[in-house]
Amino acid sequence: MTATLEFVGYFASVAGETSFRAEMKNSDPTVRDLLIRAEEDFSERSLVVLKQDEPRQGVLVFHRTATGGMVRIFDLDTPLQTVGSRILLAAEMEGG
Amino acid sequence: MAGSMHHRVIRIDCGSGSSRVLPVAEDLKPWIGGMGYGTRYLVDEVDPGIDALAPENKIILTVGPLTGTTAPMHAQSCIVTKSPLSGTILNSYAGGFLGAEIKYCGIDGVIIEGRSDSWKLILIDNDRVSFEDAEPVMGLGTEETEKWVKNRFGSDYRTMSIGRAGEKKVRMAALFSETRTFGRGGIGAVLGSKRIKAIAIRGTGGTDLADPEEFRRLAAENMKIITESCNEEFNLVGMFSRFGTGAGMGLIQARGSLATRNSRFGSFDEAEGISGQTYDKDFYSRSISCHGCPVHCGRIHKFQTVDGGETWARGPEYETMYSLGSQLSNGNPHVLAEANRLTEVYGIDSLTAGVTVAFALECAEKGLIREEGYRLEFGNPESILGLLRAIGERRGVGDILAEGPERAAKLIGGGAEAFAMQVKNSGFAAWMPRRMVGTGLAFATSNRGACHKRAPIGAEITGQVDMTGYGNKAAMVKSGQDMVNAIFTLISCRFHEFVTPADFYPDYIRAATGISISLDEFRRLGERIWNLEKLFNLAAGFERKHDTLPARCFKEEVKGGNSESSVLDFARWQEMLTEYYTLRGWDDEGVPTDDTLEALGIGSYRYDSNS
Repeated sequence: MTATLEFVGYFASVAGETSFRAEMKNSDPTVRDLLIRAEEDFSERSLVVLKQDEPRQGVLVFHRTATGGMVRIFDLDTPLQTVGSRILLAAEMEGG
Repeated sequence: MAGSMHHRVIRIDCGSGSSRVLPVAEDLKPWIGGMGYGTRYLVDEVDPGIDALAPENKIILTVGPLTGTTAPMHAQSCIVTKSPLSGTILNSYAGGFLGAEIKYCGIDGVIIEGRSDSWKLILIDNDRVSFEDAEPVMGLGTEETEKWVKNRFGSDYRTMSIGRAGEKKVRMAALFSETRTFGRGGIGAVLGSKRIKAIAIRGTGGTDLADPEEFRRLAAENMKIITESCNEEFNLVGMFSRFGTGAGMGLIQARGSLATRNSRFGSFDEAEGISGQTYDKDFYSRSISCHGCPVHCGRIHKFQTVDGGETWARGPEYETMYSLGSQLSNGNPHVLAEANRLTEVYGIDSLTAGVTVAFALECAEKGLIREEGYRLEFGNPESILGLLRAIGERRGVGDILAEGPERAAKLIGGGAEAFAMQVKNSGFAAWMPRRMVGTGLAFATSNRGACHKRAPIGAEITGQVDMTGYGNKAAMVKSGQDMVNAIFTLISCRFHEFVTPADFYPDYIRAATGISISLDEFRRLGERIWNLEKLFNLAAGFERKHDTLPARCFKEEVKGGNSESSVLDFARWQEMLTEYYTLRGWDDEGVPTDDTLEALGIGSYRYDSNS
């Protein structure tokens, strides 16, 4: 399946792109598989979002809903099939 | 046992030009300091029914037990007064270096009352107070005023001042202190009503600690936690440290929650151009910090002015990127910086000022107002800068807008109240109640109006909870309000709690003051303060109908981007408000019951609806 990872805000400047599309080769890929794939593809830009296979402090992962909303993904083992193929990476934020 | 509070305050009577140093009453000490002290003094001494700009109003400036110590992120001082903007009790905070200086004066606070016959400056040198003629600085901006004061009296004074807006009693006038601001609620107008242009404070003492060894251990451990967070690339406080408070605009935009064009839209196409990262990348920037803080989230930028000159300006902070940026459809970082600088020159709260300008621009679109000499339209620099000047000078339509968005809407008429984005005349902070229901409830029930400091912003924006859902939001809001009130007795920076475990607070209090308090008791103190504020507001005339949001939030869907056409359901909103009152132990009208007040240990305070 093809999955899209959107880089929100600060992540866009880290990745140098606003989104990344990847053909997932393994069957039933998970959200973690997509993040690992992104780290590999953006290694030259030092994109590191996982620490011991879990999100680093301050890294937020969402999936986009059909109505445009975003729902947080807490379990990276979640199959991409169940949350749709649009995943978003954002940094923790609470305003000043 | 010695402790970090001095148990003395200075009371300054502007009318007689006199001052006294007074002991803090024994029954005040369990209120810890900061907002606790300030709220008690104001509630005990000020009639809620007075005009906030009358001589009878008081400014209670306080510090807390951690102020001036080595505890990181405790630089702020607190002011409690009756707000001329909202008519409610008000608490407002500023960081920088003022708080530590107050502590080093050997006092826990300053109470300013009365009204001077002529414009004065107040000098506080340890516990000695003198008045000086303010004539040479009348009409000057805040930065110029403070420079003059330092040149005249000594650069080792810490200063705060009002601009022309405060002199003219603009209801959103702020009180500036060097690189920081007591922004909310119109404190600048209250100081102006007392005919005080600036205050300079110099302290040469220090502070004591009840358990110095334990305190050192706590502060060192806390510092380690904070600096580790600063070094984490994606951590919230780490991002503030590297980019300032505007770091996270991307997530808010992605979630369709960036209030735009007077809150009609939830996303702004030009948001990236006014984000913290853009200012960091495209402008020559310097970080600034508060006393003893490793985060240094403040920024000053060198930028080009509209007339081609160059200037340094502090900020803009995140809330200003919204209020003078997206809310005005202003995607030009230079115009935003210049607008921010104008609020500093005039001494206005950039948040409510931006909200009021956005309201005025929509009024102009609807043909409800016009201004001589320039057009009024969203995104137009001339309109934005022109209206800010007009408010600061109380000139033309600015004289109406200077009253604040709700009061201005009533004066303008034509149904304008529906789209004045405020609660109790206090402008919305940078968050959209239709997109973040809990934050909306926090805005509506806030004792100072539209307060974001006690809203569940983090939980909603980061997706810990469904941000457009109503479930459990009442409990979440109550819990946040109580806890933040509690930490404001210490006057912790609002960002401190983001990275510091709550257990630190009672430990800090014990080591600093010798007062033993559990975490539950500490939260209970926050709740006690919340109820005392509520009693003040009830007596000032605020009822259930005031704990609400403008009609736009219930009748118009948010447009644009990923805003999901969100709108609040009025019936569910009312149910949630009743649930919130019930959780607080208040009746359906929002009045604390006698049992609630007794249980909180403030049974001697009552609201008498007949008085």
